[in-house]
Amino acid sequence: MTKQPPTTEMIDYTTPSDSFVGNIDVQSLLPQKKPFVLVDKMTHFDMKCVVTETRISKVCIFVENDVMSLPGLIENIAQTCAARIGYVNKYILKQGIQIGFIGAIKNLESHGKAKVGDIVTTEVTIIEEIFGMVLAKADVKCDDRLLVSSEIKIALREEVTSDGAESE
Amino acid sequence: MNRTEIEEKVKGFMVDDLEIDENELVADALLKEDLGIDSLDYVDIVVIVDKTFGFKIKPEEMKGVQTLGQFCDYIESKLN
Repeated sequence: MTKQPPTTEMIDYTTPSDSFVGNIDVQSLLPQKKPFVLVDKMTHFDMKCVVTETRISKVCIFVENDVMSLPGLIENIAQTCAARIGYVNKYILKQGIQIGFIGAIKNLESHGKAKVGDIVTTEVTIIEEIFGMVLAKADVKCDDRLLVSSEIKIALREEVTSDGAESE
Repeated sequence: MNRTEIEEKVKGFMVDDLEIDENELVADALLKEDLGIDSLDYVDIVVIVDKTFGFKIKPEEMKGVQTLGQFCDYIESKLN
């Protein structure tokens, strides 16, 4: 069953409560579909920062020998960015989903790995957003242990899909 | 900040951050065709200019900027 956010009357969508964003079906914000969805839920949103949580699943295509691969964690960062873009489009700009592409990864540091069953917390902080690009800093943690830090550049396609907001 | 200082700082970040060969950094070098600066680099330039010169580039102000010299002109005009 699709989760629905609580009553939306009088909500300032630019500074929503964590409980509000936590109840959003994150898949409704993402262009990715299963089994390529690597984010479980959004736990915080503001215009400069977004946080997601994800339990590492054994069936995830980026898991090898019960360990999430580094590309999987990078994809998790990218989808956290995508969830933010999806939230802005759906709740603030009232439009469909925009497709984004990873343009660059900079200053990537890998400090640890996540195992099946671990819950990783991914925090993305926007550094700049201009020329259809988003430049952000990202940290992926597990139990306050830093696994990966990186800067990521996302290029946004200009066109906006009409679906997505209500997609499955 | 005078023109020479602006040019030195611009060349500095183009070499250090965008990894452009210093020998290619001449005034009439085209940012895109000669220096290989693409749309992905522009977001870095915006951040660096903000940190280095203290103002934020507006996309509409960059439309006529095609060469390195014009880019320095643009920065100079914003600072003065």
